[in-house]
Amino acid sequence: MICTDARGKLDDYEDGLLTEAELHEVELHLAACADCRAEVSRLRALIRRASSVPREMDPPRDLWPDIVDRLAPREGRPPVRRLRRFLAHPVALAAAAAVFVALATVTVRRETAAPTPTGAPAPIAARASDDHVQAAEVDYIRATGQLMGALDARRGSLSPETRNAVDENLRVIDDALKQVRDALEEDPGNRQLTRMLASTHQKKLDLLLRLLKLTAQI
Amino acid sequence: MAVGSMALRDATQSGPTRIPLPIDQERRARERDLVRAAQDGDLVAFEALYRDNVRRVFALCFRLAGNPDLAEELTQDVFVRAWQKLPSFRGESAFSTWLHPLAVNVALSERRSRRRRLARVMPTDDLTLFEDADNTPTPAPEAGLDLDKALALLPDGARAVFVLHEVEGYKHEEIAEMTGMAPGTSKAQLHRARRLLREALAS
Repeated sequence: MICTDARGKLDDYEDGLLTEAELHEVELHLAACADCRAEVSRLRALIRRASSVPREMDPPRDLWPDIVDRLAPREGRPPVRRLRRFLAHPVALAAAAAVFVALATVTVRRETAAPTPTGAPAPIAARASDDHVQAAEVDYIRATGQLMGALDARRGSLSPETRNAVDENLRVIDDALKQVRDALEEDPGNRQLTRMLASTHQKKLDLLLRLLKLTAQI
Repeated sequence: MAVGSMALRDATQSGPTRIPLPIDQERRARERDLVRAAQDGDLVAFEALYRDNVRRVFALCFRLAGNPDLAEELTQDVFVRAWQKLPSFRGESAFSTWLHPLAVNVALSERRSRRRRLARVMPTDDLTLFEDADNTPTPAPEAGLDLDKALALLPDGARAVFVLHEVEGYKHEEIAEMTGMAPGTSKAQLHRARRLLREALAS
């Protein structure tokens, strides 16, 4: 038996699934092959390690408040979890990408209380009381505007199916953004919602980057 | 002969006997009371069940999801689903025994619906560009890589089977039923996971 054949049977060997004849062949090979014996040792070590991992882990935070909010939502407050579920759709589509100025600005401005820039286009979240959110929206509009312009320039080269898929992706994430902004308007200063807005901005920017990359390959 | 002395004779003459420890009986009795109260709508009782079981559920969701944020979401989903299905729990097993396959089902359902969403909105293009970047296909060798970190790098299918088989102890037939894949596929995914993990963990 050669190593390739033996290696192909090592999992079944460890799991006790070989026939008598196969077992005999593998054991003969292992007796003569140090490399394959080392491979068996590594496999056994992995299986032992897996069976001894801790079966319990503390979540990073107490999840009960969000759970009870879903089981018995408080009146007058938007159920935050429903937004997360909605946002799970674009999460499935967006990927980690380079950090954009808009996202960095949300983080930095929130910490340093920078003034709202003048001469900028009217932010979408103009009614939100948080100046940092408005400033971040301005930067976000600028960044997405540039990316959307680039994407629009490539629309002509896309099939109708792909154009529809691109539009559907963008519609879903824009709907998610609207939900977060509406919730923030009802509960301004809510840190969790502010973080969610920044995160959704990033997701849209990531999505636009990915779409641009994809359309460049078609 | 009195019942008490018969019991004593059995205990002394038949060797080690499986006698439930008082603490186990007490724990099961407490759990039964909590479940009954929760089934009647008592959220305080359900919170106690949550506190008793969340660490186990989170560990399972964390390993199946390969992503801590998603693990939090899934853990919440598990307890919401448990609350909804609580009327169907008859108390024939421990609550944690009933909860565990429900947790597996929630985690695997999320994976299936995520793949369906991807397929629906991008029918004609390469979906791999849109896959969650946390689940990169091939883990790179890294000295001293923690097993959980290495697990997170596996492809979804391989990770799910490895966690269910090696960590949770399910057989391939059970995994096949839970995941919708054939037992042979489950076995192949396990072998693949083992190979990738051995490469990733080699130092």
